[in-house]
Amino acid sequence: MNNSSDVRESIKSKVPSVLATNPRLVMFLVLVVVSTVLSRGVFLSPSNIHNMLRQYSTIGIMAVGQTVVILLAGVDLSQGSMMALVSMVVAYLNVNGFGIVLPLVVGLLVGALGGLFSGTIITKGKVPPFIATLAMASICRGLATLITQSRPIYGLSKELLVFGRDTIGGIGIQVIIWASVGLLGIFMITRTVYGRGVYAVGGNEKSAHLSGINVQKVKLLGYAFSGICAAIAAIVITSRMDMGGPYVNANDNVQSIASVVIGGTSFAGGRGSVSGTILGTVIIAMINNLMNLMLINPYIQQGIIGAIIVVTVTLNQRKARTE
Amino acid sequence: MREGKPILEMRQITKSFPGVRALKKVDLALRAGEVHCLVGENGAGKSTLIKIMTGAHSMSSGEMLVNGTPRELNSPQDGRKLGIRAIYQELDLLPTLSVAENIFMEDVPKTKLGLVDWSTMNRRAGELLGMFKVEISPHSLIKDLTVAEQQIVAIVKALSQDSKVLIMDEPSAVLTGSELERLFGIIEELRKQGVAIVYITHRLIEVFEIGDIVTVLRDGENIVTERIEAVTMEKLIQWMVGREMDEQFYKETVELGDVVLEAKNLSVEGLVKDVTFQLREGEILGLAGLVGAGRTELLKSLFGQYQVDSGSLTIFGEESRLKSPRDAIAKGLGFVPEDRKNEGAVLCRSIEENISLGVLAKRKFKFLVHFPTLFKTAVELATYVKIRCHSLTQEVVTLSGGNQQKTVLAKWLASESKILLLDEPTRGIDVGSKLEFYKFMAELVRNKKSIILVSSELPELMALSDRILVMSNSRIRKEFMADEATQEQILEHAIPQELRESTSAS
Repeated sequence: MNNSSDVRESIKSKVPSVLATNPRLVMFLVLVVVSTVLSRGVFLSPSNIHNMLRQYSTIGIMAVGQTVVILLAGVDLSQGSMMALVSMVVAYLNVNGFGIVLPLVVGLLVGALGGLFSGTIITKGKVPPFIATLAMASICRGLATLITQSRPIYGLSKELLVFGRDTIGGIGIQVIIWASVGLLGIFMITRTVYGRGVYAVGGNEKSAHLSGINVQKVKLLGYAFSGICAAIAAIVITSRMDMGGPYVNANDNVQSIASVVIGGTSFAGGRGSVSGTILGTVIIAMINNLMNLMLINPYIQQGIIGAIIVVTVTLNQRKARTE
Repeated sequence: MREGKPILEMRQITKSFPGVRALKKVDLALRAGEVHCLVGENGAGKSTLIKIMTGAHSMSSGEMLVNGTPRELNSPQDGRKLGIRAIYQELDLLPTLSVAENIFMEDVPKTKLGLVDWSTMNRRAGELLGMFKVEISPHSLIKDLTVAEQQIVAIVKALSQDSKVLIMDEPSAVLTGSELERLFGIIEELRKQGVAIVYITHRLIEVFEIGDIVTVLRDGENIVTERIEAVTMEKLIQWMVGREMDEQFYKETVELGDVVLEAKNLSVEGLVKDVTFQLREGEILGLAGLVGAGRTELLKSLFGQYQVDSGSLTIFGEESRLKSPRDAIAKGLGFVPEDRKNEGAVLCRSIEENISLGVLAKRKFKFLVHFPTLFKTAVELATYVKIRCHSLTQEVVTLSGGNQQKTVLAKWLASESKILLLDEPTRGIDVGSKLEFYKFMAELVRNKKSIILVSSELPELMALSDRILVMSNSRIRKEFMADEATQEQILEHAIPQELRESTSAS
């Protein structure tokens, strides 16, 4: 069985099959080539790549949390509004003399508690995730505007700006945060008992329950994690913009879900990965970057992103069907 | 005997999936008015063959002739246009719509304005149902019908559009006595109308009752096609398993140990009433009863799925109040549900992950999973229960029914369950795998495990059990030692009092 020609044969057959079974990787490679050619090499310059990653780090961070929720056959529509709320809370506490640590801790807590709250409505109240998180989004948005009657908060302390502006070894801190959250997500999903639970619950809730998994706990923690990711993203964006904004990027929620979907995670739950999502965010970043380099109207860009979501999901579905 | 030209002919059909060849040069010819039975073990290639026939799968090589003309089908729609239709085990009816809506799903009658012509639709549905002499209203919702009635609606739906070839994939699996007779009546009617029927079944006796001709598939090859008159049951089984089978059941006598589980006056609101029994180490306790007698509910109550309202449950000498399956698993229980697709396995995950759920259920790891342990356990158990697959990373959905069932069982072996609750474990599993399963159960009890077995197949239940409890209307009505009971006695207690009176009156 294990003689060398067999091994060679299997490697030979595996290379194309990796590409065939992973449309995202193909898309990524094609984009790299196309972008490089069209931008006459500018695309591949370290500064361009770095800028791109910095810009998309908030979406990347949110998407990691979103992945867990979608793997659980749910969705979190409250991430964007949660970001606005946390941004306001952190900024408010900071400018009112509570320093750095407390605002950050409270910000993360708000994210976690918000997620737990959505999770509770979903598990105990049997409300569909779509509705529960939509309601949560409205609550967060309302609270965010309530704090200052919808005025942004300026004048944050300098130390708070570290997260969105400084670099370590030439790499932006927000990129490092994204990478850390991503690695944490990968680790959590692939290496922990909890991760196994996520796949089982998302794949088949009844079987998971009958296999002794605490389904409610798994779901609650999933939504809490999504909330925490939104809170981390909020800290990064607050720091980058140097203000607490009650309306920060409403579109980010869409992009976070898009990253997950382009990353190959099934909306039906149970299938997908955090690593796929990270690649998904990078693909969205690259497409936007390419369109910017080509001076395409930003409003048209949104439409193009939408079209790409449709295409990738269609391809994923077709693949699932032929299997 | 009709020797006319075949309506549909499949020649030298080969189908390869990555890593496996599912069909090897299979020939099959269907003629009008003929019931062609297709039998074979799980994984023999029956499903693949019918999926090619309907156009759901493409073939790797070979050709298919419809009325003598070679045709290439790219989708089930192509097949439907040629009058080839299939009724699968999982009925593709929409539960919240009416019978009529389901029947005319693909060809809704319309008024001149292009709106749905409800009156025509309901009238025609009524006519079609009337042809089969069944009392089903076109207005009823599918979810309110019995499984047997749903089956009939599925058949009527298939026939509403002039089907020439009708493929029935295990239509009898969920039917009982009189319902089965009704199905056979319908098939007889279709035969007269000149429809070519492919009938797939695991209940071999049906082949002789309804078939004209039988084809046996084994490992993707057409082993034999023979007219029924020239076939015996022994030969059929021999062809299917590829060896002689002189035993249908398997049971070893095991010395019984202490009482491991004891229920006293156990009641669950509306589901289980006043149940008292004991289970001993090494025992196989059979639960007999009709569908809806409360057998599944009793198993689920023992497994912590339903909360017990009154009475007591003692497991290994400890009185236990189970709040969830999690508690039951911790006490050493394992449950193989009847509905393995929805309750048993996580279909979209790998074999390894499914088996590992058992290891995780033992709460062996607190936070991190230890992959070597999981993989080692999964490999050992998959080999032990003989799951047929090319890799343990394969998704369970790609396995045949029997192998899915083995995966669920392996999960409970991984959790080291000492008491196994098996709900219709052999339903939809072929003869060869069944025997394998019986031997396996014998081995389990030899290793000091105990089993509570629910099965609607009385001969099976009687052959495997040490003792049999008969249930009806959520209560245990009678207890038999398995070797003392007869089918008639068991049935007598299984049929609820009211029903018995009404039948004796008529």
